[in-house]
Amino acid sequence: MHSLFPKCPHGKSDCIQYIAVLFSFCLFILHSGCIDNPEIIHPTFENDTIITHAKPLQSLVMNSTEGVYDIVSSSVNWGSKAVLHWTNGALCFYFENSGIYAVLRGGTVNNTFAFSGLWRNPLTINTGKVQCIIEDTTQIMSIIRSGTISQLTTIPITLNILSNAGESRQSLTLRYARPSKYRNENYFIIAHRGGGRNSDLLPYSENSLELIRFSQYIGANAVEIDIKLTSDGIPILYHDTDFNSRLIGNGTLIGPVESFSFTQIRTFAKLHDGSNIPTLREALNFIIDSTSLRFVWLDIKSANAMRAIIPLQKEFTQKAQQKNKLLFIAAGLATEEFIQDFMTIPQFSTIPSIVETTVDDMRKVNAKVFAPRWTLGTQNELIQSVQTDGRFAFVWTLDDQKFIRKFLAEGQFNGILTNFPSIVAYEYYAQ
Amino acid sequence: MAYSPISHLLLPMNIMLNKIVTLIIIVIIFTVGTLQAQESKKNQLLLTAAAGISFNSIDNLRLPDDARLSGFGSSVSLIWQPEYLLSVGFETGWLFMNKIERTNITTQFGSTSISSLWQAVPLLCIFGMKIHDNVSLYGGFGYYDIIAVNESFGTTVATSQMNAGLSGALDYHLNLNSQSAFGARFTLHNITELQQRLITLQFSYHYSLLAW
Amino acid sequence: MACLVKAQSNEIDTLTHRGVLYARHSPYALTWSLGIAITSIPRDIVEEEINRFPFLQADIAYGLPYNFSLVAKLNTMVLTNRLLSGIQWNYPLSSFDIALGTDIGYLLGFVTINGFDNSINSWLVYPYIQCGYHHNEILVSVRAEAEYITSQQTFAGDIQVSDTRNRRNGLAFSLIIEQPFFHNQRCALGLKISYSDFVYQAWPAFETFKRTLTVPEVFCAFTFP
Repeated sequence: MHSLFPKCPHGKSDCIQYIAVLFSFCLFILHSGCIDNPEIIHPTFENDTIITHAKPLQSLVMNSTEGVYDIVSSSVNWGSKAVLHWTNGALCFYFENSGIYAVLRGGTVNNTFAFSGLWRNPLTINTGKVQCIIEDTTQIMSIIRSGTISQLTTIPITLNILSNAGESRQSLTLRYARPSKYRNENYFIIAHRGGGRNSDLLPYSENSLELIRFSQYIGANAVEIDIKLTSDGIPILYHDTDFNSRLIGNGTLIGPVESFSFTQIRTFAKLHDGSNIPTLREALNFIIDSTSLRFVWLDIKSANAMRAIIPLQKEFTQKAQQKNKLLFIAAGLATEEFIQDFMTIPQFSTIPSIVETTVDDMRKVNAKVFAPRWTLGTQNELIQSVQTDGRFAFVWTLDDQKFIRKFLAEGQFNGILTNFPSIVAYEYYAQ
Repeated sequence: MAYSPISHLLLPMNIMLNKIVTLIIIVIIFTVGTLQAQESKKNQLLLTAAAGISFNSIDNLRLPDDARLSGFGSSVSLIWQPEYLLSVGFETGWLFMNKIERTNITTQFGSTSISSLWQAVPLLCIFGMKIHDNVSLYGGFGYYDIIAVNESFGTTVATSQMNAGLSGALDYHLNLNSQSAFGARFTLHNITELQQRLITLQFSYHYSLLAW
Repeated sequence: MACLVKAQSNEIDTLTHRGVLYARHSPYALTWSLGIAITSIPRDIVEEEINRFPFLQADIAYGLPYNFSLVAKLNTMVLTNRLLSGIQWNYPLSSFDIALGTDIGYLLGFVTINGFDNSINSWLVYPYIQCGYHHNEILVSVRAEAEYITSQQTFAGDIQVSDTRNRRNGLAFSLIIEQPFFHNQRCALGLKISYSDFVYQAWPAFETFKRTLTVPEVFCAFTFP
């Protein structure tokens, strides 16, 4: 009888079937063991008791100890120098190699300085815990009180470096070398997407409030955040055109961001770190109330978001002024289309903006900042002409240490947009 | 609306399913080449329709506990079966992914009813191979158009997004006559780009549209 | 030796082993295949900028005497193009064939993203070992290859962003099956898993983060004698 699926001729093929299955199995083992690309495990500090009762350090101590340190002995290869910087009460170190950073919290416990925190190589998945304990602080305090800061060079500071699980312990000893030449300069280290991209495996999602807070500790004093508009006209912090698996880790929304209302987004979508997608209002409130950031670059991702942003820009600039806080909020105009649209807004020339296209465009809209891409080079003459007008010049997006060093050494820019603020922080403060 | 955290118990299961999908794909690729050519040299154009249940094996969405993860799943494929054992074709369909329905829930924005439905339309290039008289294996790759409808706060939003993925299927069939066969099919759809997996259990009907 | 080669040639012809990707090729016979390859690169790296179209893949093999073959491969999606060519020597063992070879590759890519005129050029070396099993008209190959970057430069505009020399990039394992499909045409189906620091398909991302990625690739191709 004929049939749709005729019988298979078996026999000799059995052997190859068994071999095939065996090979499949071997490859499967190989495949299944390695297919999940490594994710970083960020250190946790739930049981960290050494800093529980620590009191914050005096600002005199913090100001005096900031500067460039020599690494005098180390069992890790983090370079020969480091920068010590205090941010919002956190003790931050930025190291010469790859912008490795350590962020520690703590303070005084009796006659001891006790700090505990995390370290991270921002270019790899290597991270872990770090502790710093100075048993007898009498000498340090007397040097600081006497104002003879140069004598700090005699005091070693040892960092105990632990792996993430805390099982391996290494150490690094630093000695004060000199104050940072540029400590008080008005230079902007601008963290891209609020601190970095999701692919950089930071502890918080890109464009989230917690990442904006964290960006200060890894060297930023300014942030760039991406703005999209919801269907009901609320500006939110989001980079991509769509809700997708790259940015959304929890929820049931998929497809174009601008299709959904704010209430739907807040109810149905969470970022990978479990937090809400912030509104621009929430973000600006947070920046004013909870950070010491000085500049916010609003990277407008859809033209229709422009008009919704400007009232908020004005409102929060005023709010910062009322709180005696130095904060500059500027709308990014990345393309000719955005500039044309911007120029249709009444009194556009009074609205702080950042122009990425040309100096002519910058003057046309009276932008406060000119921001060319880094591939155009240092353009020193052009940048000087921008600055003589009383404007700023930023360069984007610089991630490579050798180019960061080159732009700092040879360029005249007022700021660098980067995914790795700790590299810029080291290179800038250690100049 | 509160989202429950992902169950730690579910995680190993999802990793296991991931591996099962991978294994099936590898076995398909291997077994595609493991049999000798049919004695019959004729070409056929086969139309296969399958309908049954589709189950969404959640990997990363962390849906609320009351989300419905199973529903109707159908597929249609057109396959060219040349004179040898390997066949090649195109598959599409309509697969349920998940649904959330809640009435009069309280959110920070007030009380509302919520309905969210995800469905997938596979657009796959598939390869088929008989591994036994009544059993065929299929492997496919291509894209899944995820169609989502969200009704909440008085508005309905329908969106869609293309995501790359792979599929593997095991089909058991009984010949009815020279033109048709009837069977059952187990399929794993791995929408890799979205990190979602669907399992379908379907009855299948095969019909020879053309033979030469 | 000439007799041996002739005998092997006859055997191959008899068995109609006309695989392109297989470990052995008939002397003076040219075979080629054309197909597509889909690579799954982690989305957090490629983001939205890199389009996710499959690559066109072309393979060509020319059998030489004394069990040698010349092979070449082209992977292209216009913006990214990789050309490999090399020589292969095989050792037949009953139904099995073991092949050793090295491919030299050149990668050329150019794309404009966000106003950046990005490009890459790279020289690559792929030493490999391949084990083949032939049964009637079915050819099964398992292949392990290493990847070395001998020279690689990336550019953003006129500025050279990176210059990599003599770096071990990773390993890849492939499983390929070639079998008759229609008349004289064959179909090749394959799965390749790479463990690489640099994934050439994702070069426009200018990934600065250093991690080894596991990247699966599925490909199918139609082979012509």
